[in-house]
Amino acid sequence: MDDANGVPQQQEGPPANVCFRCATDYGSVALPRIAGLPVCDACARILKNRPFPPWIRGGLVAVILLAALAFLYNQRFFFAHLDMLRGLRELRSDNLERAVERFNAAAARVPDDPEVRAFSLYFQAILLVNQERSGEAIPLLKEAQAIKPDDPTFKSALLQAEVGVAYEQKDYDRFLEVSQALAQSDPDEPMAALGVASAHACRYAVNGDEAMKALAERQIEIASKMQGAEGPQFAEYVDRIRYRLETREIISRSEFVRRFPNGWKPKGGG
Amino acid sequence: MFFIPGVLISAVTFPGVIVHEAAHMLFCRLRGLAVLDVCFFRFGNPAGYVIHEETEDFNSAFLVSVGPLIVNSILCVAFCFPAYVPVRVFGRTDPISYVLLWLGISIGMHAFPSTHDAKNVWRLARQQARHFQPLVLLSFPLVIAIYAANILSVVWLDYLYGFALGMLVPELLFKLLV
Repeated sequence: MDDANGVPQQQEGPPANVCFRCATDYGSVALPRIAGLPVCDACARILKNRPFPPWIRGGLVAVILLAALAFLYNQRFFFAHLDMLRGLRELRSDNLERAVERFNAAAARVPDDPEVRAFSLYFQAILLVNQERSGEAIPLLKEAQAIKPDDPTFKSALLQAEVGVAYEQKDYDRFLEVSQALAQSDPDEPMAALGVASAHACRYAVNGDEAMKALAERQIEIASKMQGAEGPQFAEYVDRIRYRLETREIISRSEFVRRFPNGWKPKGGG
Repeated sequence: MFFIPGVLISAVTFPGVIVHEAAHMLFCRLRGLAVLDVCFFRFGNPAGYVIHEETEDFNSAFLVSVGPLIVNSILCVAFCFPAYVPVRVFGRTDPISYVLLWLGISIGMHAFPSTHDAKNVWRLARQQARHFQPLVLLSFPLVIAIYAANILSVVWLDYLYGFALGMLVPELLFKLLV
């Protein structure tokens, strides 16, 4: 019961034999009371099962119907959101391939949403770069960048893909040039700093110029002192560069992992 | 914080008032209590009311009093859920979603029982306290929460409750589905 509404008080009230609701006089029969008021059986039943007015029932049905229709109409958004959340979960478990599948599914559900499309293109491109198919990643990243031109993530990913293309085409001067641009655009990222070392190491492997080797070593040292220069990915990249410096052989990441599944240690090193 | 007359707030959020009173009435029916008079909405203070017979049965008093908290909260989530993803996640601006959000948040805003309801529960809970019934034990913090919510409604706590319920619970449900 709400404020300012007490139970009706019986002042002089109806007589005990007259129903307060229907006013029927039951003669000598004293009626039972509800909230102090005499009520006949028929009225008591009505009061205890007071029906909801038709407009309340109709209104409730109408709004529930509206919510159900809205749910059906918007279901593609729900499933796209679920796909995005599942994709993010896959990303957290380092399963990029499955994440890309989820993001692609989300983008297919809401083709009229450019942001979801850009998001899906970005991760598709990252997967291609990881698979050493950087050339295929570039058009995807350009499309993503056209959707969100101010997003620095896409700009940096595009540079990363260009680094990959230069490496895959064995254009090591270009590899160095783009790696330096990438490291400049993200000066606090140790992996970007290692990219410059990797480019110097490639140039050393090709022409045997000791100055290039020194530059690569110095760059590894710089990258190693940066915040976040830790973890297996960083260590593996350093090993790959050192392997290149020691053997003057340039091999892809997948080949490196295939040859040295338990990691590589330099000769005479720990 | 600016002041808006309660009558105006009730008028704008009238679906919440209607559902609040309907919830009281629903639990009166379920517990077999006679409803002597009911007003689902009016321009005045209070904006709605249900006058029912008093009861000494704690469970009945508790359920009738907290009925709106249960029913309004459930309906708030039910109406906000279909609108949450298109509006909040994808930034869609279709009018049906906005109508559902208004409906859901309005209903959620009126979920808290009045202090009069809390008083009823408190009186019976004190009498029943020695029986250590779970519902009785639950009622003590609940009554405090109801009083606090009524006091803090001047700083829009009722609106915040409706908004949080309508926006956070759907996201939570999605996280459970993932």
